[in-house]
Amino acid sequence: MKTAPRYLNRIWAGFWYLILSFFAVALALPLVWLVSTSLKTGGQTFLMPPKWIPDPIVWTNYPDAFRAVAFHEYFWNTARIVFFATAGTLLTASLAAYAFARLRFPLREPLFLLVLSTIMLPSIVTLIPTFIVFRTLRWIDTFLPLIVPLWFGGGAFNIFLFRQFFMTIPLELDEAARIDGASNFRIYWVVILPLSQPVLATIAVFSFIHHWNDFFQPLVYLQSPENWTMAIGLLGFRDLYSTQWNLMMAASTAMILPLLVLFFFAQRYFVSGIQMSGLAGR
Amino acid sequence: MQTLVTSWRRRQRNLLWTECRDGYLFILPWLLGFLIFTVGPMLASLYISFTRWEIVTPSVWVGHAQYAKLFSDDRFWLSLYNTSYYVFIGVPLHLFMALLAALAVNMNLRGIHLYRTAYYVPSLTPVVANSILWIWIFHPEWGLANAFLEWIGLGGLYWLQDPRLAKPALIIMSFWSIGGQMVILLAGLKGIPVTLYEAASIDGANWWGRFWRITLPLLTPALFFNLIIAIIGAFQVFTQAFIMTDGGPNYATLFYLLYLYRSAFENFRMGYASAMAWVLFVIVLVFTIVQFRLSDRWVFYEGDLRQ
Amino acid sequence: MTERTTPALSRRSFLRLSVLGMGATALAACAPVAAPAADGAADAAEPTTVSFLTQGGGETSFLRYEPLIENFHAANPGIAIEPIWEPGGAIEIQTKLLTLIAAGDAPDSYWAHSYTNSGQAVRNIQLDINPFLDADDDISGDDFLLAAYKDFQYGGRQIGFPRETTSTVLIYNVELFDAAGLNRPADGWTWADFMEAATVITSGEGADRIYGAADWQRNRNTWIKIWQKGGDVLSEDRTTFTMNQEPSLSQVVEIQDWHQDGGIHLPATVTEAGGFSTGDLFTTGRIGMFPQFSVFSNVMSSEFEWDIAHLPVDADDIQTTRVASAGHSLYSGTENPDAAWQWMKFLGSEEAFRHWVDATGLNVPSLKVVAANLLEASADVLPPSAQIMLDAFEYGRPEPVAGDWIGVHREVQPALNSIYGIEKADAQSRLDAIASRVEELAVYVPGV
Repeated sequence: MKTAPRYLNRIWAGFWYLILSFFAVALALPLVWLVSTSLKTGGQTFLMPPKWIPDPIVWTNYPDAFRAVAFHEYFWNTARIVFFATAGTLLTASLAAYAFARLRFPLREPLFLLVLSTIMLPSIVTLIPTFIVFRTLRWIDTFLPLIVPLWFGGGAFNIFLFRQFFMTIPLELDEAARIDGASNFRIYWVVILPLSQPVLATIAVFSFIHHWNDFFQPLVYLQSPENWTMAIGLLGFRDLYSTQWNLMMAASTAMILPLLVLFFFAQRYFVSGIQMSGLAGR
Repeated sequence: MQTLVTSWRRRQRNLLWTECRDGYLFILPWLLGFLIFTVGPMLASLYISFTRWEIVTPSVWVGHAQYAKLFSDDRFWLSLYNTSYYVFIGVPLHLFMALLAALAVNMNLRGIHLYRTAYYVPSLTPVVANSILWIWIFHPEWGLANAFLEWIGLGGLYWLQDPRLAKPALIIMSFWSIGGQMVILLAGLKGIPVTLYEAASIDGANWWGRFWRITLPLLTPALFFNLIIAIIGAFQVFTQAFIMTDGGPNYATLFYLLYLYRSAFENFRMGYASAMAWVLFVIVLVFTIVQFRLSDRWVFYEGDLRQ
Repeated sequence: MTERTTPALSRRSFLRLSVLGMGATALAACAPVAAPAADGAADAAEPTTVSFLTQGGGETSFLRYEPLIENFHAANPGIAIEPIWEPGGAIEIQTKLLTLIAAGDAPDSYWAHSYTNSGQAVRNIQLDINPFLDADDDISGDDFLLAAYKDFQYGGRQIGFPRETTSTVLIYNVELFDAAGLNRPADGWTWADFMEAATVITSGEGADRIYGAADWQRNRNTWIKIWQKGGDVLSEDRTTFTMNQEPSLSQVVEIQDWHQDGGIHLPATVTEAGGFSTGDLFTTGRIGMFPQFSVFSNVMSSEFEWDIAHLPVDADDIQTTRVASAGHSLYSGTENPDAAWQWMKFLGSEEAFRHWVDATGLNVPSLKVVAANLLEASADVLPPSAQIMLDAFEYGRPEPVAGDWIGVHREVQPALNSIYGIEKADAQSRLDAIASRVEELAVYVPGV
């Protein structure tokens, strides 16, 4: 391609844009549908055949949704949970992953398998015992069950992801630092973490999105409405015999907007590829 | 000379001891969390699987009776078959699509970050919203899927109403959630040193050669991660069947977890559900161990301690 | 008091387990479980707390109970109601209830639904309120619509009061009937009339096709047709599955015939895939008539005239329909049964029902006096013949709930889907195939 004439490059690029756009349109369908439904009247939500462009366009669904469910109260709860859960995840999952990726200690492999095994057992059957644990700690109806466990390892998914990326960093870097007398913690902090910006950003974004959208855990542990999160609030549009889909979708749209912005701006960190930049021509 | 060697050895031993101590120190938060929050409930469910426990009635020890009942329950085998279908057909396809998407959005084009965002969007929209959209897409009369088939000259299908098509339909739907895997692969792609490609180009390797000799091997840690996580996740597939098909038609989407959930919280059979959970646990664990064994042959870590 | 279901054993087993394998940290953390919460002997000044697990998420649902909680406390200063809100349906509430019971935090009172009542009643989760009713002259079962009241009975016990209730009636598109020159459904309307109307109305092709009938594929509607002929899901003693026998079987076969290609019935494939409901299709004028429980919010947006009617009934048939209700129950293990009963009584009072009519609008209140007023109060949103949905309670009945009734639903509906749907399964053999499973669920004796 490097030697190809300029107009050929143009054609190639055009071709790729076409393919990319086709899939972008297909993959964006859920969002388009979400926004479209959020602007419909209640009766139009399930009109068959469905309409992409609502008629009339009901902008008032947005204020109505925020009146029907107290999202402004739930926002701060969600923000606090998301912030503290993500911080704990980044710190403790990377710590554990560093050990599993770069230190030798007895039972390392079985212990790592044990880490993974914690997500292999369906949570349906551990729901009640786990609830009993948090009840015993008197943590029910507080944010603690949603935050504290993440300061103790951050979850198997994140440990595993950190480990995979740490293992792609050449060991020579650790050796060099060790010869300079650096402790393992210093190597983790000064050598590994700065080189892991993409995976840190990835996990931060994943964790943010997960806790932002998760309704299952908060629903189990948060009982008072004043402690609820926005994801629980979304469920408030369901009633016994009917669901106000248009309002629910309006609230959903408003809820994922910050996530879209976050993803859009965070991607420059997780695709920055600085990881290996110092090792060129090794 | 002699003393130098011994002191070097001692130093090595000290280093090893430090490494061992630090290893446990680093995983200590996880280990404590595991002991406080996780192992108790896990063992509790294991114990429950050997009892008859209906949540509100006293538990009765029944030995392996729940497991015996499980293996003679044809609905158990059916749900295991449905789930295996989803795992063995869905996971490889899903992984392949995610790889294609990652390669596509890794291209050096102006505005590519917009496409990345667009490809990730379905992973942001609520599952409930996605499910309702897909019910409509697969609708036999008004759905986009059949409109597309008719446009290319094929007849319409009963996607979610035909027992033969319901699982494939859910697998197709799952392609819309490749965003997470794509991002992980993308981060992996970006971690590959550009200099390697430059060196290969000088050697005259074409795109395909560079892909096989550089991109793919260096991407294996991320691919391996996606594979393991996807298998663990796919064995626990639940939500789509719960919202969209309710396990039907004719039990075609009665996935393992849906059956387990109904046993536990609709029919109160927590002992039975726990036995189901532990059978699944063992299946997934065995798969994971096998994958880790096999990974020695195809996953390439630049910083592998065993090298 | 009736048998108390104690969660103590489950907790004890959990503890035993902790001893088995957990680290000392976890063990220490578990210790307080053994000590019973010693807040029972509160000061006389402290009000007794009655916890109340209920359905709620949005402002509307909070409005349903919050004013009542305040009014109740004002009238009974000695009792404070502590709500636990759960946004979700019957199953979600049941899941929460079971979790709380297992954890030793059981609510004293909770929102309940006839769908989940039976599975809970088999396990004595609800307190039998008959002794309270007998000792209390202020309230009586006769105050409630009979069929709805029966919905909260199981094995001779009264397991709660209904809040709102529904009877299944026929919703029909008046314009389609009039345009075809058909008589509107009226008293004495028979199945022959039904068939004639459905046949005349059915017309058009593809996405424009109008169907005379819809929604009979749902088990709850198929059952009504079976009940009319004297059949049922289960035998009288509720131990034998009888849908695969006459007179039930031929009703299933008849409904299957309606579903034949080019038939009068909307194919189940159009509506069975979640999301889209028959009501949505009705509003677009594509359905002549269909049976539905008496909540009309899904057909409100119809821009044509529509009304309700009694289901058709033949001369020798039993006039019947299905009644399903939501309501409230008390937990059998409550530590404050007397205070909880006061709250329960309040939830069955005219004051409470009047409040719900204001707060929730359309659904039928199961208290007779309030139900009678509903027609005047909501005349502008109810169909012209709304009286019919109230009359239907006179002859309607609940489902023959037994054992793990949700499980029975889960067996019957897929079987009917195969029979009516594109598989066109043979009714006899498909129903035979689920008989033993249904029976196992229906006669299930827990904990043995």
